[in-house]
Amino acid sequence: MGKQHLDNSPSQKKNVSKPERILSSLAGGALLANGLIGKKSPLKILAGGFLLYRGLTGNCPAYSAAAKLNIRHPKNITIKTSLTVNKPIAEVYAFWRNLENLPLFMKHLESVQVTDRITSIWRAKVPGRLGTVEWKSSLFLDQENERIGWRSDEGADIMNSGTVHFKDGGKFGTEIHAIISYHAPAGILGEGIGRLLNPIFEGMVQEDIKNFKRYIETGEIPTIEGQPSGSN
Amino acid sequence: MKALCYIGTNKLNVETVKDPEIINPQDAIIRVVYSSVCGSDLHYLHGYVPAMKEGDIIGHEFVGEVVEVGPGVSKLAIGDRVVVAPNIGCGSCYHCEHDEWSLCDNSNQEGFLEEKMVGYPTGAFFGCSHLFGGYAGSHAEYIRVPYADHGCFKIPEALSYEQGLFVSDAMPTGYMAADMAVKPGDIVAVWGAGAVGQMSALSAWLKGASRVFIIDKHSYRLGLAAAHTRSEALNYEQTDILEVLKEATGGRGPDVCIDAVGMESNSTGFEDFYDKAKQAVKIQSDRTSALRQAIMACRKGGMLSVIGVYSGFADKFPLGPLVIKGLTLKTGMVHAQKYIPTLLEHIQKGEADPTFLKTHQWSLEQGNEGYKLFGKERNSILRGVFSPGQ
Repeated sequence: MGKQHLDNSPSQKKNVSKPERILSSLAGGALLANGLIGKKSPLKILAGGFLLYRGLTGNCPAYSAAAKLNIRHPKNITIKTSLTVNKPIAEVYAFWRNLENLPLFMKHLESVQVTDRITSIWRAKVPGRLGTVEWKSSLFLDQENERIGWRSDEGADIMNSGTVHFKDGGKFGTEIHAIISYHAPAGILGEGIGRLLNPIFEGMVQEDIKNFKRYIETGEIPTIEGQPSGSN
Repeated sequence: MKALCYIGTNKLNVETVKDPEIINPQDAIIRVVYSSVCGSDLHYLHGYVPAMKEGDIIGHEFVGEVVEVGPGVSKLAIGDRVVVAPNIGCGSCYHCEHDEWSLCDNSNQEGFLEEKMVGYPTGAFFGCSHLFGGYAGSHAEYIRVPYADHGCFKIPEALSYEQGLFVSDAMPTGYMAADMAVKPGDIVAVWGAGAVGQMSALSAWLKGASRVFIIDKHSYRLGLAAAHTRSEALNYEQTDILEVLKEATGGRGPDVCIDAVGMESNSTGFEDFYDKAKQAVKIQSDRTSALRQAIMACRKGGMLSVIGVYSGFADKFPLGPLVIKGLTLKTGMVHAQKYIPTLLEHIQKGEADPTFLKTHQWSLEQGNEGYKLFGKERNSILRGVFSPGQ
């Protein structure tokens, strides 16, 4: 398992002065908190995160870009992960190919509604109970018992794509090689926010794939949520 | 309900917590009748294993009565008397299907923590820290058992709860140590006369050993071993173990050496001081003096079976002697589900009886003093057992 950055990381060069960093952190934190409580404001959350980021790192991508030091193409984060599932390839492919099954093991997906052979509507829960985000997605690759690939449609709020390659794993069952890409919202602001979210996103994708294995092998996803503890 | 909870290093408390509920379809709820202490609990209590959280309910070796089953449970009914495996196996992954239950791919729902330490996550255990899934343990009035059809085994009518209790962990662990290594006619030496060592010695006979030695420094435990496992007890503080074993085997050394001690091993003199000092300042996590001696004692081309619990890294490990003597090293955490049915049969036939392991019985409220006694006064206790309902 591992992540692969499709392009080089932006410069970590510090170009924000200390007082400004402190201000930026404070403002960012406040904005983020404000955006998360009461009437939810995605803009406040995005802006808050951006400010917090430049405050914490001392690096402002906007400054860099303005100084023509660090102009980059929009950034993709790609997470690659492999697992072997103790089930025959046809069963594994068929389960994934029915995209409406995805919320059974992808924790943050609320639903997937298949509209025709190619297109589907995806709904995701946004962390912090901010509500749901909805986008359209299309299959661009479908080879029976081999590969499935999907991509969110142009202009979607969440731009992502994924391919899953199924391979015969011999006595171990079926190998799944998944590549999930996440496109940060366009522009430099998005790049800053994206960098904050990447580690969280990476962990999430890897858990989703593990949960696929857990679900298809055992019919349930193991959890300790809701068990007794002396600290409650 | 009442439960014995981990609060911090060497500190436990009885807390009133909510009763466990069915969370997943294959869960069952068990009313705990007996729940035993285990040497491995001491590693957690002494602070040698990371990932314990305040409030975690400890305990993993238990028997009880089924009081509720989820819709995905088909082999159990309310009222069944069961002994439960300490490790949690899903029953469906490659490893469970191949009887390697403690290597289960799916049960350790927090496997990403362990993955960083060992490369790939292994199966979960009850009450054994968040490295092994963070599942609430059995020192409580009730416990939730996931994948209950695979983890719970009915105790035959002819057997009591007390006879079933150690078929949960101590006996399958000891039996596995022997099963991995002992062939008919072998001479076997077991390091450690705790419950698992005693069960290893007993199991060596079941696997056809011709002579069995057991090594410890506590005369109380050695006495129990001699009385109940027919093994020859050797005190390493009073005897030169290597010499005695050499003489007893015509100068060859034992065919099989079993390490039933694990990471808090003791020895004598400077070696003992050196290991404890390094562990205290966290330069090494595991002390291995028993394993070192086992490697030296083992005959050329012999089998080394390591069943004691180790958590991380050890220093001064005699890799050279291991390789030069061509020893075969067998290891593992217990695959209890593989062995429990066989062991219940042995007990029913009168071929083995582990009940002598229980030397003390406590209420949950006696947890702190009980574990103190178990950890420090090893020369007067073998296993203490909680009876949470009383």
